[in-house]
Amino acid sequence: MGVWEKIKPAFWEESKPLADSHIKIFDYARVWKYAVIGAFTIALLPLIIMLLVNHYEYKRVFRAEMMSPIYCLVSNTQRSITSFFSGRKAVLQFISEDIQLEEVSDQKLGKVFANLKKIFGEFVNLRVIDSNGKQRAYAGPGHLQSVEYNDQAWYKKVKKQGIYVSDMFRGPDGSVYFLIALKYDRNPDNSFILQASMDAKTIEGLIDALALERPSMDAFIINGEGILQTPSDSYGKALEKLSLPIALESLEPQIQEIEKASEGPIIVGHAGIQGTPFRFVTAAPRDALTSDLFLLSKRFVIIFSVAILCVLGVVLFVVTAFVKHIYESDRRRVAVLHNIQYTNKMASIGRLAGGVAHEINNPLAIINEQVGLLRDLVSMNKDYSRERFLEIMDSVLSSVKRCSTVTHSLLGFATHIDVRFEPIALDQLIRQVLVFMGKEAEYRRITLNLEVQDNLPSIESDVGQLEQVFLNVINNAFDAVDDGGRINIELWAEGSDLVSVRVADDGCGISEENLKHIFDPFFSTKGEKGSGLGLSITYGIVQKLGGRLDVKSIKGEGSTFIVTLPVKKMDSLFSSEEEDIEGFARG
Amino acid sequence: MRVLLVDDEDEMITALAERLSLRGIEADWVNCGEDAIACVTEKKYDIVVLDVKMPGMSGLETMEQVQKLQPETKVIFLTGHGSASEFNSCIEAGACFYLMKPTDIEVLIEKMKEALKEN
Repeated sequence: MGVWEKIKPAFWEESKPLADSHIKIFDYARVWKYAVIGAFTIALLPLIIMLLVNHYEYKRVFRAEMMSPIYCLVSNTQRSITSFFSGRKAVLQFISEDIQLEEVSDQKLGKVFANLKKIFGEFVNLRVIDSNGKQRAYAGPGHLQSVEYNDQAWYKKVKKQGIYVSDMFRGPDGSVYFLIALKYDRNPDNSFILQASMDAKTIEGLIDALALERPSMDAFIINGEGILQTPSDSYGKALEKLSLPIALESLEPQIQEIEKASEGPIIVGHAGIQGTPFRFVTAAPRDALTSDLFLLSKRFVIIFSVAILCVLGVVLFVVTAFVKHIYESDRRRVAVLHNIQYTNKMASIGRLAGGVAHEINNPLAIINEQVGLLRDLVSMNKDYSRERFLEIMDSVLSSVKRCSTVTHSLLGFATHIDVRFEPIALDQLIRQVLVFMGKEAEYRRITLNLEVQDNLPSIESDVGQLEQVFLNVINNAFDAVDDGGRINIELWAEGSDLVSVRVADDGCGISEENLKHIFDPFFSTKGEKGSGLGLSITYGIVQKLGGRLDVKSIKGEGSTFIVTLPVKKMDSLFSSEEEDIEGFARG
Repeated sequence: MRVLLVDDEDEMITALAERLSLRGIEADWVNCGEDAIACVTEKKYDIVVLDVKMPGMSGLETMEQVQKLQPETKVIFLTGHGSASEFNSCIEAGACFYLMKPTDIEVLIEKMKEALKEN
């Protein structure tokens, strides 16, 4: 036995759809499902909407909050690095003012360089180059003389631009350096270029110090060709090509989201350094930056899941209790209706009991007297002929037959009240009902007229239910007519699908006001004699059998009841498991 | 003792009449209340045995007429129907006995004698 078998509610097995307007059986499982879905939706929809709105709004705010510090970092670093280069350029400018090309020598420049080095450690060497591209003085490690710079690209650029900052390059010792060159030409007689080589480690240190604000972010410098000028933690060593496609057009700080197949989306902030070929870049995978959001989302999901489980639990509990209550109420209602229906049928049959007793006692009395006579004749040695003897015997046999007709008719009455469909000859069923009413009609001089259309088709219906219907309708007719009245019963087919039975009497009739209520339960015009349930139950049974019960009546002239029944069982009305319904009704 | 039997069951009433005759009781029989009235009008009876339910006049109606015509005539009801309310109605209306069919003839004769003793 599975878990479901253990926990499923009792109504689940009773969920057989049955379109029955009289005894309503719900499809409880469907009601339960719809109620659960409905309640769950109503309970959770606002929560889901609130959660989604909250999530997207929070994501938007978080994104703005995330971008803002990156933008600040890039902007600040841009300013710092720009300031660094401006400072170094100013230093070189200052030195230039004291240099006389004609007097400059390695010793003089060396003194200046030594002082410079004390303050700005990143300076590696200094050289002075005349306007012809010939080195005139040099200060720094090693001794380089008579070097011609005319053909070198940087020399041409500095002559043209006045100031020049080179890309980073690897020196003979393996370290990375860059050049700053300045053209001094205020005096045409003293025109020269002051060039300084500088260690790139200073820049790296500056970047590292600034980037400490956002430890999760990688920070480095690239040149105009996207070559790394300082080493990156994640995207390569110095002087290697950067693998990120960064837009290099503007100097202004920018933030880009770059999709990288291997790492997912990467947030990149970058800005150009004015007067240099450099661009400061900071980058980090978006997931690393949004980890807080992810954590928050995770908490939300957990809270939401717990809320869903709580709501689901409450909904299941409430809906199950609700449907169970409906189911129990229906059970009681169906049981009560069955009892009422059964009681009504018993009452109808009980009403016939007197007639039945009469119909049996009279032939018994004949037998009693005829056999008694026979005994008298024999015991008293009276003369009697063979014909007389046979006559008496025939009378006895005829009376026995009368008794058996009555008992067979009684036994023919279905004792069940559950629905069992079988072929029924409607005229025979009505004749059987009339067996018990024949004598009453005779005594009250009521003319009973039964007209049956030729070749009336048999119908598929329930014998017990139909007996009850016609007992009720014909009993009502007997109640309505005065002694000497007339009851006409007519049976005919309406097309090939329907059979109708008209029970018309010339009795007291029903007033227009009462006619509106005759099918209402507990409505009776018979006073204490009537329960007020007969026609109500009859109406319900006929409907349940897929038929129709119509009534016409004129006060003082009589009433006509027409029962119209389908020839074929209507499958849409009844499931094939009526026995289960019966069992359900009995609880 | 002269008895009039009134019942719509021919075969029963004729046999009963014959059996009473065999026992020395003069018994006439008719099938309905109207015929019974006619008989009572013409002839005096000590006892009238009446069925309750008959086509036409009922047993009670017949008794009423009989008592008007022959107040000293005793009435015994012999019915196949039988109910407490009917019993009460018949006794209250003046019947001596109310018997259920089928009845032993000796019991019926006994009741007739008892009814006559009431005089």
